Amino acid sequence: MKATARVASAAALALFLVSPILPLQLSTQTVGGGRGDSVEAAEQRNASAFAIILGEFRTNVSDMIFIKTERYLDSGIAYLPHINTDAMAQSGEIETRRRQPAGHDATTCTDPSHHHDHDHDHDHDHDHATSETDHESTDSVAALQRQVEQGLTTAKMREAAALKPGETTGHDHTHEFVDTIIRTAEKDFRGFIGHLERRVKPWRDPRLPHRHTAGTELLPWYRLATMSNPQFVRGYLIGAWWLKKQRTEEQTLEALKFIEEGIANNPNAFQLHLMRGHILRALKRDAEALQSFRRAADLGIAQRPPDGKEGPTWTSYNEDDITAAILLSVFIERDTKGREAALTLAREYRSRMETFPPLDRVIRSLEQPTQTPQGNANASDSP
Amino acid sequence: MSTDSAAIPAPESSLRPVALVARAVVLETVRRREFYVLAIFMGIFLAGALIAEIVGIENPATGTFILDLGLSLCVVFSQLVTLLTAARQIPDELEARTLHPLLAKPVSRGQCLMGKWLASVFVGVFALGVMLLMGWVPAPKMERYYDLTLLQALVLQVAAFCVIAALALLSSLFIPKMLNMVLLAIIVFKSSTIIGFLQARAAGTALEDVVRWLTGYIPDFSHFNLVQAYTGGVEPVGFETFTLRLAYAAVLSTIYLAAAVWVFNRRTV
Repeated sequence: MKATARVASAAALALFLVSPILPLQLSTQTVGGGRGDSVEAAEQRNASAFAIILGEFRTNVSDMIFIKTERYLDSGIAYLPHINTDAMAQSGEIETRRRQPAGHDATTCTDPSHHHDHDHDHDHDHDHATSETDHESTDSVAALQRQVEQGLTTAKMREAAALKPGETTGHDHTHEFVDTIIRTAEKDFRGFIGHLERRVKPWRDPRLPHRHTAGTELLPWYRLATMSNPQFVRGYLIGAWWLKKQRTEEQTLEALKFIEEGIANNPNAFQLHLMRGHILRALKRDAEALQSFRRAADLGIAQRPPDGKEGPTWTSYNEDDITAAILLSVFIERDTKGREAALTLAREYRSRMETFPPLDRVIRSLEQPTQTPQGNANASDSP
Repeated sequence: MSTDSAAIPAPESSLRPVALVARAVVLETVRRREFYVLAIFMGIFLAGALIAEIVGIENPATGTFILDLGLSLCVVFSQLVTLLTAARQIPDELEARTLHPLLAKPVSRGQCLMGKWLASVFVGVFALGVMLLMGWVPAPKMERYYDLTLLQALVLQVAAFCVIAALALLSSLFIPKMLNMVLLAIIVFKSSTIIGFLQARAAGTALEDVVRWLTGYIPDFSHFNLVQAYTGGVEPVGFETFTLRLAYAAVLSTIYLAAAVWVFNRRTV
């Protein structure tokens, strides 16, 4: 009996000693959050009445980072995202966009500094499988890079990225003001308590122009988020994007280091390889950049549904990213090795997918030797 | 013949004390307040979800957010119930001096521990069932979700209960009750964050592989959580991945239970 117990104890001890094999194996088989990870879903759920009621109580890191990003870029001031509770109470209308005077839109606005996509709407409702004209903007390296950036970041982030640390910029919202979470004195029933909160917490009258600050202070959040969750691919992407946007070589090298850490933790996330390619191009290391873009393209094609249809695991952002990875590979191949090599590569990619209109167009233009492909003129656009 | 029967007990006779101990633990847990407090919290969510349904849900993403919140609360609360039930068993028996009469009966220490473990797991499963009625049934389902993914998520939760109960029983043998509960809560709900943090700190250094191996000894409960995969519309995980997760739970439960029995057999009560 004692011998049996001894054997059982030894077996349990041996099992314990080798037990890390299982979590190590499992860490390579992560299960994603599906459509919940997309920017669109995060924006929609964070703008919902239910999310407003819950305040900052959120279930995942990406939502927390989303809120922190908004706050930091607005100098710490918490604006009410996309919801007007007064209108909701009066008319039952749940979601409202920022209020604008009648007739004011992109076509009538005369203010060149006014961005009409400022409320973070992303026009990602185009049909990737059928429309070729939608992809006319993907014929240059710079346009492809812009497309990837638009999928990854909000307009406010792109605007703030142009600022240096410590700089602020006033953004005139007099014709489209958004309420703050801490209400103005006229709307606040709490009297002295409300006054105290407005004095103690970052607050600014919502009728005044917004003050946007540089996003460098966000970097520790992305560092922390990726440390606590090494599978947070978006954290790596946006963190590297912020670093790259600092435009100094030191920061760009830091961005490269950060994205390479992301790749080590998520070797199959093709977007990370795509971002690595962009960073390497910014460092003028084109040969390595091409390798990264090709790696991104290979991984992305393997993950993409053959027909490219959107679903829980394949969003329009994924489609934009794979488009960028494939076309950038082809364009850089053409610029470095010539038209024939690019055509061979393009055909090889095409053979692995049922449909992919942007590549069809590029192949057609490459097949016409006498005519300069549309993309040629812009192919050497710097990022 | 009759002498042989007495010497070699029938298989069911060794399980009977386990079942009796488990039954007693379940009955005792029903009288506790914790479960009802958590059920009240779940009731608040239920009310919120119903109001949201009546007022109208703006878009499918918000519907999914509510569903995700409901299921996450189900999982967290039922894990908490399992943890509290298991962590309290031995310290309470020692404090009330009811362990001596129990062990004076023909019940071995191992059987006693197994009974308490089984009961803790059962209480967790029961809590999950009740919470699901409040958190999943009324929640809006406005997008496509795979039922099989939900089933996998629930099975993995039961596997997580097995690990939580075994770990709580083991640690309760040498850590004071309240401290044990706090530490266990940190491990159950934040272990993946701690592991990720440690691994990221060591990434790129000579210690990277060593740290990755050593952190493998910390139980990572995120491997048992498929709630976000379900609400994100992800297809069921493959057979290999699912089996590997179950095997992980089985290995951890076996190790912790074996260690608990070993420690309990050597401990003076």
